[in-house]
Amino acid sequence: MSDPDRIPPALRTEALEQLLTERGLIDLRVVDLHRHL
Amino acid sequence: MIRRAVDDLGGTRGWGPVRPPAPDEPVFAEPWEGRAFAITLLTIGRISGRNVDAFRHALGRLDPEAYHRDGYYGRWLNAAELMLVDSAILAPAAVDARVRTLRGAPGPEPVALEPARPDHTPGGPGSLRAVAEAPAFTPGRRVRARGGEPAGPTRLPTYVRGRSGIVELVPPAAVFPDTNTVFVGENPQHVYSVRFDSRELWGADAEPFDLTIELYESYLEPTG
Repeated sequence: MSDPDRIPPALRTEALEQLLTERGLIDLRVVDLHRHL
Repeated sequence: MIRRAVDDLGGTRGWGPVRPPAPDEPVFAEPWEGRAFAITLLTIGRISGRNVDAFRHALGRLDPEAYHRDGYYGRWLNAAELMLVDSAILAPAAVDARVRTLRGAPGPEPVALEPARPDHTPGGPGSLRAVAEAPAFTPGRRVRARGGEPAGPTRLPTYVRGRSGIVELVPPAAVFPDTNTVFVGENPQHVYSVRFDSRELWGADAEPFDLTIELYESYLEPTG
């Protein structure tokens, strides 16, 4: 049975990305993953 | 009863067969997974000085239902959010509030707090470190993994606690995750590859095979 209160991970990702981007903490347009691995 | 972190799944039963990835399987099954991956890596770097142990500790503190429900990258995302709340970079429920806005029902969003980033500077690249003291155990030595419940976070799997095995080799020393994970020091220790008989771990009826895992020095005690 699906949980009506469950937030799908895709939507949660979008919300988190918005919050962090607004605060200037991340910019996914310029991610160089090799620097972070 | 021993409290068990949600990610301490090693040696437990009932998970079904392992499904190896298909050769042409995409790295990210859905676009959000790639974004969650990038957000998490940036989060680890920004707020914890790339403290991977802190990230693992966050994984182990996730809500069990969400841990099993949201999949691999869902766990990454949830752990990143937990670390951000731990550091007060995000207020609790900030993501929930933003989700309501994205769903067309905007409401007040919690006020961001004063960030309290952990004061953490890694002692070097990666997790391998030099330790001046000689290893306490040498290959061939019989050892026992400490039993009971540790006082704090640990990477000692529940299924080997109190069980005996043989030191196979002594790989390079490494940062001790149990203290590094909560930002109280790297405290590097010697690491041992310890070979266990499956029947020592799961009883006389277990399929016989050897299992070798790496354990930190303070996880072990000598035995006859």
